[in-house]
Amino acid sequence: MSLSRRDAIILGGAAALAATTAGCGRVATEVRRRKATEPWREPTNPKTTRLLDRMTFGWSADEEATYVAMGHNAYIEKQLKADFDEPIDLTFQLTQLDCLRMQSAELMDIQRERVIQELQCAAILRATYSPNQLKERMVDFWSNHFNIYSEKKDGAFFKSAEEEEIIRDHALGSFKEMAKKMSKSPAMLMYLDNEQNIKGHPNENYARELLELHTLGVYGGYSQRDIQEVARCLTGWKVEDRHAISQGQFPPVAQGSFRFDIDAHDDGQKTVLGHVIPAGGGIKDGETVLDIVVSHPSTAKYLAKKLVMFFTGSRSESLEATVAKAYETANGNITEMVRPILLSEELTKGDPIIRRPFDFVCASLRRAAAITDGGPDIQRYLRTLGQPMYEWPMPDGYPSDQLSWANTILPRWQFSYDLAFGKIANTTIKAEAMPLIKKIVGEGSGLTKERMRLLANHLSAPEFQYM
Amino acid sequence: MSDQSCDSYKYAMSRRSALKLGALGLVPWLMSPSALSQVKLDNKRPGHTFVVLFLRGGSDGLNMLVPYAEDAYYRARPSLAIPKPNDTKVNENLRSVLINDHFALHPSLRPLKKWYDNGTMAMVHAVGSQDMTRSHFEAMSAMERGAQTGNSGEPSGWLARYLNRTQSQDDTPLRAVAWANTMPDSLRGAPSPMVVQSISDFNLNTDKEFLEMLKDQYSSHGSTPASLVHNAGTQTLEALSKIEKLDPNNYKASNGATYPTTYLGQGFREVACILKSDLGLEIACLEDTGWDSHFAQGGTVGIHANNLNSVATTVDAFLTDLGPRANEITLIVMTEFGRRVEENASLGTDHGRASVMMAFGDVDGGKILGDWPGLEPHQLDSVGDLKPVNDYRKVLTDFLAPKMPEIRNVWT
Repeated sequence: MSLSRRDAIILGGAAALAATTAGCGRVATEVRRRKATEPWREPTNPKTTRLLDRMTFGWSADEEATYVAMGHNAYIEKQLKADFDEPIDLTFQLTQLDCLRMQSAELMDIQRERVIQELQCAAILRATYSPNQLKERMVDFWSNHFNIYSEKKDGAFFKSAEEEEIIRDHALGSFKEMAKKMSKSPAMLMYLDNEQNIKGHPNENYARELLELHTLGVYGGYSQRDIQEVARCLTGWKVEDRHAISQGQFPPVAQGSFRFDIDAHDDGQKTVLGHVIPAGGGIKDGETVLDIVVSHPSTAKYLAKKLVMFFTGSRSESLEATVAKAYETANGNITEMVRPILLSEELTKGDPIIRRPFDFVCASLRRAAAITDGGPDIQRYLRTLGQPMYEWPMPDGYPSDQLSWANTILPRWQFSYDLAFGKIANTTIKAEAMPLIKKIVGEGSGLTKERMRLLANHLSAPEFQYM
Repeated sequence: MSDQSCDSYKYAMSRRSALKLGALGLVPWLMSPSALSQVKLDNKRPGHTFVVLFLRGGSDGLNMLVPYAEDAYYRARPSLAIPKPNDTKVNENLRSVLINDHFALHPSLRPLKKWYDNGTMAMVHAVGSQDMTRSHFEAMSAMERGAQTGNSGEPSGWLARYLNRTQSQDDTPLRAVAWANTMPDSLRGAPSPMVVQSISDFNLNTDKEFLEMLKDQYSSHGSTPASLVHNAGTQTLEALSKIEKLDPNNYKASNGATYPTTYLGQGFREVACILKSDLGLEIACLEDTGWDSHFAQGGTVGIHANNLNSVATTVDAFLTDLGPRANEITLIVMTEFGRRVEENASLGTDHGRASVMMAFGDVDGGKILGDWPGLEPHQLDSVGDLKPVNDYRKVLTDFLAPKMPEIRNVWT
């Protein structure tokens, strides 16, 4: 493994040296030093619990304390700004992950399996420990909205750049910017076969998903003809696969970044959703398409419907209309779309939402104030539960409906039991947490078998599978 | 379609029609969905079990059921073609296995020949969906959702819709089981299907007290109706106790059958174990990977030959083990698409459109069913692929409808 300049800039000398030998095992030793933070308590106020369950990756004693101290509106505003300081130990854990420090082409020197482990590790740690919980939920939302399959082609090596530089940067920012950057994301172009989309031999895969899943929605008012025309506009949008020396351009771009290949581009006139795109536009053709689709009223409606469902578990015409309007008046600003949902009655009154396995694992860790390295030992459970991160093969993202997940109850029981009884390597629950959860585990101190049992019961209960 | 082979197809097609009519005439109640739920089937023994094996990656049908009578086949595949059944230039066990005057089996499929001969096996060539993308995901998505293409139809699986349409109070938690890492799309949306990597993994490594607690928690839901999770929980607990009694690790196959010790072989062994225990298994989904043979596919020997051999020996063991009960199952082996007729530059084949579907059990066996479009250039599609003239939905309907009449209504 070699260190890039980027590493040297990010890390001091000593830390960089440590990082070269660090893996998840190293993270494990560090994590044991993490102090048990505010431990687990029984939720006292069901409405607050539900509100926090839906705004965050699950109620925790810490989260409720912050919420109560700040007050409803101030807490929501701070979450919307993602303005909480990230804890130093989380930051430290994350800096040890190669996938967050290295560029895609450099990551290819590392074993693929290891890269995927690191990606999943980052996802678990952030969702569980970041105080900017709303942002983390939005990252999960957009990561599924713009789903790629890390096992297809070289997806694993390109996913982290997409996650860090596009999804995380815009999770509560501008959807329009996010969608435009996504259209030039190597991970996405590779996943949806746009490298094979060349003049005379169009591949419609990306064009179709751009309209159907990323922007307008399946009934958003486009035709097969529109898909074909969008595909033509996007011909030549591919991933740089040439060495710097052979590129014939200055400055050369890094291998593995976006490349517009004018030779593969169909430069004729196109018509997309009624807009004529004149011949000879080059890269502007695709950029114009993105402008058209992100400004389309169907996009506002489609995103509004998805966001309302994500947070409230139900359809609501009036709330969807408010959110769609916010998209239009605020030029696609995601914060402005999410705020009315968080402030709505529907947030806590909607139908129960089943926790997907990733939600369930993170919510369990948070509720029990558990300490984890997020490494392979806990990732094994996500796999058995059916949601290893970034491994949903289809472009629509992991399903969120009850039917898809209700049958995976057996591994949920096993996880609850193993977590409570300390059977997951590199994941622990501290004895100090016990006295403060006396409503669940009874009076007294110490991590007794009986208290472990009561915790296991709580996490495996039908009620905890919903939020 | 060549003139010579025409007659056998016409014959086969008419036989198939007769079979459908027979089903209508003899057991009319089977054809009526509303009647089905009124018929009190034996609680434990469903009478028919559908087993489906999906070969993921696109198996090369042209090397499974070899159109040896067509020169075009040999012209397109100088390195990968399977020698004719009467090709004396090669060792006999490297030749294809004669089926009729047009087709022969890949030598790796030789263990299946006796099942074909005794009428337990049928095959259809040129089966595919209308998905034109030649994308694994799209083509699989189409077939597993019972849709025309990867981008049309319903999000739920075709088997899920079948299970929903035929639910009854007698259903057991082992009604639909998939041997897979994640739920196959064909079962997505089904009423509590089970997904296991192995039946012997379907256990809870906890303690008695925890199990008792779960029973209490999941059976009591107060005045509110049980949630899906409550229902899944009680079904799972029921399945756990049944599987515990099953002891799949000590299952002994009958009639001298030996299952290969592969993942696939063990999967079928477990299917047989559950099937014979009369636990209400109606649908079993299995899958196998490694069929995407762009590179070094091989002909009579090699990667594809090994894969075929694994399937053939597994299916042979399964049918042998079941004995007379093989008449109470339908086993389908399917794949998302076939390969390009012409071999590629890396001794492999690229994605095509149509492949072979194999059916076993109480089927109209001993025949090659369906149409055959031919391999001459003018008979191929514009890319150079065998045309999928036999829509997979029609083929599945023809095989399954006599036993599963509601299957007619699941396609979208």
